[in-house]
Amino acid sequence: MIEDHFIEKGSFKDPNGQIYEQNNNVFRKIYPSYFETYKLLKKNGFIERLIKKELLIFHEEISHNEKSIVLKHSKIPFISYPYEWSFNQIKEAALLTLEIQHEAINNGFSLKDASAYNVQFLGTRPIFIDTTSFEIYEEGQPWKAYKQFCEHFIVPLLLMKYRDIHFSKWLIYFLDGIPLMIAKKILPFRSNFNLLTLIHVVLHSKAIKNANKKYFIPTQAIFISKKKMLNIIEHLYESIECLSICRNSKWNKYYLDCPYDSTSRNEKTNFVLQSISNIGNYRVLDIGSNECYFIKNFFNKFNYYVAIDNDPYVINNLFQNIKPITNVLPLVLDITNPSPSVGWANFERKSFLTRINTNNVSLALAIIHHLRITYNIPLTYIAQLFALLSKQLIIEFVPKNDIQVKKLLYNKKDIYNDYNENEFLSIFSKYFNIVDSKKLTNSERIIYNMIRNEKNSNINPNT
Amino acid sequence: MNLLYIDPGNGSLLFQLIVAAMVTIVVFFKRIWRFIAFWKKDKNNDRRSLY
Repeated sequence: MIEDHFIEKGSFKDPNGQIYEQNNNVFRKIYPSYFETYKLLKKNGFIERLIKKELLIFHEEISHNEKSIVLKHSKIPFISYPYEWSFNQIKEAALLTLEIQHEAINNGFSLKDASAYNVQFLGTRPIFIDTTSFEIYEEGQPWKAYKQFCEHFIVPLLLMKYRDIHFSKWLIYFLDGIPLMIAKKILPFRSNFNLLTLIHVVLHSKAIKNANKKYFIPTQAIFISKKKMLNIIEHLYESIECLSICRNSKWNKYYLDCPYDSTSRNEKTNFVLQSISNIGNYRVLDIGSNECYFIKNFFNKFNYYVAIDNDPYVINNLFQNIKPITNVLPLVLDITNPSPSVGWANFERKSFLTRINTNNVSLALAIIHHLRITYNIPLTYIAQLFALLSKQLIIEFVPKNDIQVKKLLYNKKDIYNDYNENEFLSIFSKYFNIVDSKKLTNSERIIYNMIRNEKNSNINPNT
Repeated sequence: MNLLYIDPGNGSLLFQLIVAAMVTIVVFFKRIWRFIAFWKKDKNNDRRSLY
């Protein structure tokens, strides 16, 4: 019997198994209803081949009796959700799902669900995590997860490409994919020239609507040969592979306008690297990472690096540029509005703050002026959130005489009397011990290295 | 019969028959195109494929 607090509640939809976490290890308990399929998957060597090809997460069987089979999975360093992925991340997850379905059909299996939540990222490498998603394939049967695949992957990608890149955030509300009927109404007419829209969204939604109204044919009467099924998978794969987004945002070239010469740029990089040289197994959380200009040549020094930025274009570029690195995970996430807890009873998909935990080494380089002046967040709130997230904080203070702050205040009344170095230090030193600081040459900016003051570590920004 | 009780996925499964037919035509023309591209020695095509 697994104690309740160990169970990963998000896995409640699977009737064949249960995920639970114990002593920092992840286990999957498989119930007898899935024994037959699991034995075939193993006997066939299919699972082993997927693991070898790095398509499926590694696991080992640790116990086997008539009531359950227990598998121990490799742990994913940080669980992320599709509404936090950039365009290319969703695309890679879709291609992985299709590659696995192609392999599965060739080996006598099929994916019974094609949820985007079955894919996770190890850095920039997508990996399938659900061992109990397979069922035995009988020639002729259609793909049961086809509609789900369209709503979880194809629709978000098309909306992001043809309407706006921010449409991925709709997945927070539509947890089981964006409905085809809604997508059909929103997608522009020109998108119909893409077969993905025409066939898999427009005609597909019409077929569903007509089937509901006019006729009912039992699935047993539908026969699609294996060759034709593979053709469909290959067609989907090639069509999704062709999708791309070329536009950029103002943030892509932000650092070209910033007041850094090569000296201060190197000073900044060196200060960060020296400050976090002894972090051990801690995770680095880069808040407002942009394209990680200062750190990107040194990613190999970190255990695991989560880069968050609210601009989907910069995260898309970062992901594309650093592929196939496996210790850096870029995510589209707004620190002023992080992903909430959603789904059944608000426990199905956890909030960002619950998942990220409190022992990160956080980088907040040139972001505090945006938080204080653009978003009007009081310095105390900023310090509290950073203290909640960070065991160690490396933060760059950008003073009011800096050109970037002047730009922010150009058309705005300066009501930010508290935004100065003294006030900043007095507030942050309530939560952190300041270890070191460095003023950048040819600039007024100062970088601080701070360690959380554990006396004040029980901070809940909601209270 | 209450139509709301029909599985909304039914249309999707049935629709795959039509998709299969359409994709067969697409694949037919793609293979012809690939054949031509092969003779034209198109080396710029670096897209991934399941083939």
